[in-house]
Amino acid sequence: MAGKLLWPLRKKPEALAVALLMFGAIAFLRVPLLLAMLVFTPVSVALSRKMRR
Amino acid sequence: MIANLVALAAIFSQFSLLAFGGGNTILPEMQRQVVQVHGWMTKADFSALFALAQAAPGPNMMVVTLIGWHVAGWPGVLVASVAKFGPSSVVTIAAMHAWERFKDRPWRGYLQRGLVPITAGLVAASAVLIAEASDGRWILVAITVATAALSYQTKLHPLWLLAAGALIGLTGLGQ
Repeated sequence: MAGKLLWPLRKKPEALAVALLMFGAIAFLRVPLLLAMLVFTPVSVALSRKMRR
Repeated sequence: MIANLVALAAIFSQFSLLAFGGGNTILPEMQRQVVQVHGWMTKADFSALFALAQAAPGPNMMVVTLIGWHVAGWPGVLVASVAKFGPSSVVTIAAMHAWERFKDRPWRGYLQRGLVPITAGLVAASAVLIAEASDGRWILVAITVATAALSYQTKLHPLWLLAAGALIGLTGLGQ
């Protein structure tokens, strides 16, 4: 499932970077989910807006 | 007992509101809270409950109910299940109305696209943490790798994969 979600991101480096940062923060640094979402979600939405323009 | 029920309610109502992209996205935090923060079970027990919940018919997040039962018996089942499924059901109904209402607004697209990498990262982290807790032996690692490859490359129903894993387990190879 993770592979299927990540594969379409290979052509969007900024989205792939956010996904990898989120992955690392949760899987290896064990950052609390709420904190990680509060940090990465606005960044990801802002990047998605910037890349669309 | 009461303290555990209060903790279950607090944890699972928070998860209920954070599960963007499906229940699997909250598994790492659920494991962190249940194993590391509260010490209610080991990582291996958590993975076993998750596997049992996946194999059983019913909602994807049956593991919540099993954790409630493990921590506080039947009251735990009730509290954990209501806390996990109640708030998210209410929010989903409200969000669906808002989503339809704002369908022409550009920010809806930005939000939707922005949440995709977040969800992908969380699902990947869930997979790694569950595998790490389960794969103590080479045969278990092999089962994990084969299952991931087969579910990625084929459209095989997950029940067949679960059944194959259970059969290998019955042979005693994973002990």
